Amino acid sequence: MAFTSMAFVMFLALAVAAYYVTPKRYRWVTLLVVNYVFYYFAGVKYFVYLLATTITTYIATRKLGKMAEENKTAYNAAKAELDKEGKKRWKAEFTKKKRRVLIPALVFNFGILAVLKYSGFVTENLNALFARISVPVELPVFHFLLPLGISFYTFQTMGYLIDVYREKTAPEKNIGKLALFISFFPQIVQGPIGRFQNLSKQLFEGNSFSYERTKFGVQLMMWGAFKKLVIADRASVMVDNIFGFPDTFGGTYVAVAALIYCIQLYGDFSGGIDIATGAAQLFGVDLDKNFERPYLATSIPDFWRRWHITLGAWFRDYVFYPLSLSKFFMKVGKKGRQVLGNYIGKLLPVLIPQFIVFFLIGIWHGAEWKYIAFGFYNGTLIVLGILFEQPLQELAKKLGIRTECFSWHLFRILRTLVLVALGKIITRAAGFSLSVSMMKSMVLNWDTDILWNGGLLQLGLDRQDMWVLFLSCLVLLAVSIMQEKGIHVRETLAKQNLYFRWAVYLGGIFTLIIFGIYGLNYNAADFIYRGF
Amino acid sequence: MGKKINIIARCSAFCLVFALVFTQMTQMYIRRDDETNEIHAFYGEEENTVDVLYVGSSPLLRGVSPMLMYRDYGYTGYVRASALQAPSVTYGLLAESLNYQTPQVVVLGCDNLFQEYDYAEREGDLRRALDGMKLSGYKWRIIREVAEADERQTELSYIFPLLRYHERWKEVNPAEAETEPLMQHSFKKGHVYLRQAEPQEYPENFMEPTGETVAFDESALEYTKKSIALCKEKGIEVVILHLPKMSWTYEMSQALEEFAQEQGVAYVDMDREEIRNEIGLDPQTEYYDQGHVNLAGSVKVTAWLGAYLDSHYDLPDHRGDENYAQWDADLAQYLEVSGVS
Repeated sequence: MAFTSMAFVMFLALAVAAYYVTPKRYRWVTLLVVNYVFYYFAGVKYFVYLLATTITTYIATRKLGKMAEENKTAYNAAKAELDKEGKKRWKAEFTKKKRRVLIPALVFNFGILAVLKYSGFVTENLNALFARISVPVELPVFHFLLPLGISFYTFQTMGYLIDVYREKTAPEKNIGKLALFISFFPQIVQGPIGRFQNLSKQLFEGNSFSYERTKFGVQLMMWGAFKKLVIADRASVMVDNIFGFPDTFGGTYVAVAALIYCIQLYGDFSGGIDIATGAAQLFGVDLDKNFERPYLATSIPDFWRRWHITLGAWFRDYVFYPLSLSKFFMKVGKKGRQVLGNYIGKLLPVLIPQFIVFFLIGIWHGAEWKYIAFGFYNGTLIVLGILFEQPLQELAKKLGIRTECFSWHLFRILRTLVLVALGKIITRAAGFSLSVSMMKSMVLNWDTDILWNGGLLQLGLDRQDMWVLFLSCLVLLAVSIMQEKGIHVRETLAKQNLYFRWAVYLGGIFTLIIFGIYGLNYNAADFIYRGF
Repeated sequence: MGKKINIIARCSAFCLVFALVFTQMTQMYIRRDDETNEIHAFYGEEENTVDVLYVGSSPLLRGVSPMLMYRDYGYTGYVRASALQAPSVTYGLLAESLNYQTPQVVVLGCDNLFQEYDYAEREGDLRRALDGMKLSGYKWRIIREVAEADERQTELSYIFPLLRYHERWKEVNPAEAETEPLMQHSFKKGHVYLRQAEPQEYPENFMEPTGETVAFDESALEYTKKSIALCKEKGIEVVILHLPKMSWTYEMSQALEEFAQEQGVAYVDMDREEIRNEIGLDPQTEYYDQGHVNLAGSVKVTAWLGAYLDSHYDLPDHRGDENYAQWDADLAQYLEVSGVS
């Protein structure tokens, strides 16, 4: 059930109605039923995976909770007799015990994800390797259909599991409520990846109906649909043409494709997130922010703080910090300082985990070499950014470049955009080697004439569609700049006169109806991030 | 409480404004094919004033002129036909029409009985008819059937055609676009004639037995049976009519005649030699293409059919009846516009 389909709109309307007619204390039950009905539409066989994750997480977190309680009692009783070393040992022993619960649960759940998502890729490549080194082994290759939102709900649930392990959150005693947290339908499709601490109260306590919140929710959904149907799906026509026929469209076309793909991906993904966030608001639930004007970022780390924020935050909290602060990397830092000097050595416990994180983010996107290359690309940029940050600042100072003015800020935004767009070529091209040859063609056959001689009109969009795309992007940019300046668009609009407000609402709705890419002649592209 | 009423009032007012703009937009972007307008204009006829109703595919649309029959014999008629009309649509149109009119005779065009109807391929043809129909249980059942057969087509896009025709924003100039609803009254009574002539030749051994086997499409046959049953239930006479068509065969004609006999209804085949001779169509000047007569051809076809209906059924003569003054006015306009003398 695509977010931009009429079926979803009707489903949502019924779900919201069902939610608010239910007595408050049972609203969470209604929501759980609604989630499972939604998931049922995606394919009943996928329930097995969702239930497996729910049950194993429930068992593991309950066990961890019980262990924590028992440990607390035992520790309090024994505390007086323990010296500093003894307390440390006690803690280490208890951590070891908890890990015996945590690790199997993590392995099981990430294992499901790994097998479904990556086993085909791994076995294919192993077979290729065996063939190359003449080993007479051929592993069976399975390509599984991914259950809806598995990457998202697995990460969300494992985040909760780790938080319980770290005793940052208490384990949920009601398996139904845990199931609700895991399956909340607006976010299960493509995120954002939520945290139990933020969501549990909102999901489990029956929320009261609020006209203002509902209005804002609907507005956000409309805005998301605009980004998806008017911008992203229109841009996809050009993008598909260029990436589909790289031999025909080389040179400057590649740069155009990279830029338009940036627009498409943002419209598509953030549009979907806006619809999810708006839909959640209808139930009184505020989801975590997943985007913050990423193309206004001034550096690659800044970009990743603004793009798919919840995924980045997940990796930061559950991968980066544990790695960076681990004993092993502490030792690496110490050794690094001895061998490579103070500056680099000090940075090593940051650089290597950062690289690992971005490598993982890359392969999170998919089981293909191009995503591994994408991970390396981003990891390298991050590492270089950290390494050269200080020397570049010094260089700018020496050259007398003013870094506090608008032009420098703009330069940094554009530089980041170029780097991001290059990365997008890697993920969008049919394969890694093709992306390399496209980039090569871009550099060697640069020809700006196509921008003026009608060359862009060969990409599947006529002049009128180009204008719609251009003007829609301007609207998007204007709204982004307003938000960047701290203006809350919906709240500001709500303060205007009724006639103006209605004109804006109706204008928006009919822009969507008239200029949206949907219907029989178009196969409206499915949400790109839904596939991850 | 006051706040709640205020919110409800504001939401209702907004929905009303939205509905008004939506309707205007729909009228601006909807396709206005002649047959769509004619099918819609049927609702403009005063209730229970149509004596003969014609439903079916394009040969009826092009070939039968109810106005000329009115001129010659005084009984009234209306053609609710469209190009490549689906059997389900023919049945739906008939059943719906009988809620507005009580005709004595229903003429069914049954050329499409031998072919399977592919909803996925025929969206344009479906819309030409369905866009002219008001929303009703009959229309809903057709839409459901279409949407089930072709998942790309949605029920909503038939109920709210703007969701389909929004793509026409590039070709419709808002400043010049029509914002009126579809046609409310027709002086042609569903006869969408074509003036152009394309010389035709009858195929060799036309309408001679060849031994080919022909089979009805089961779904089409079912709908035709339902149409006949419905008419019988309401005491309406049925004529199965085949209009001139170069690709018609002896075997098809025989099969259709057998079917009509089985059903106990009349069968008229204008490609049978004796009728063909009586009509006297000139293939060089009176055909639009292989499957349709042009205006001149339709005059001849109508003359024959008019006489047939007049002689076989007890149809009334409304000429000079004050209650049918509108028909006289429509006839005058029809003759003037069509140039038929």
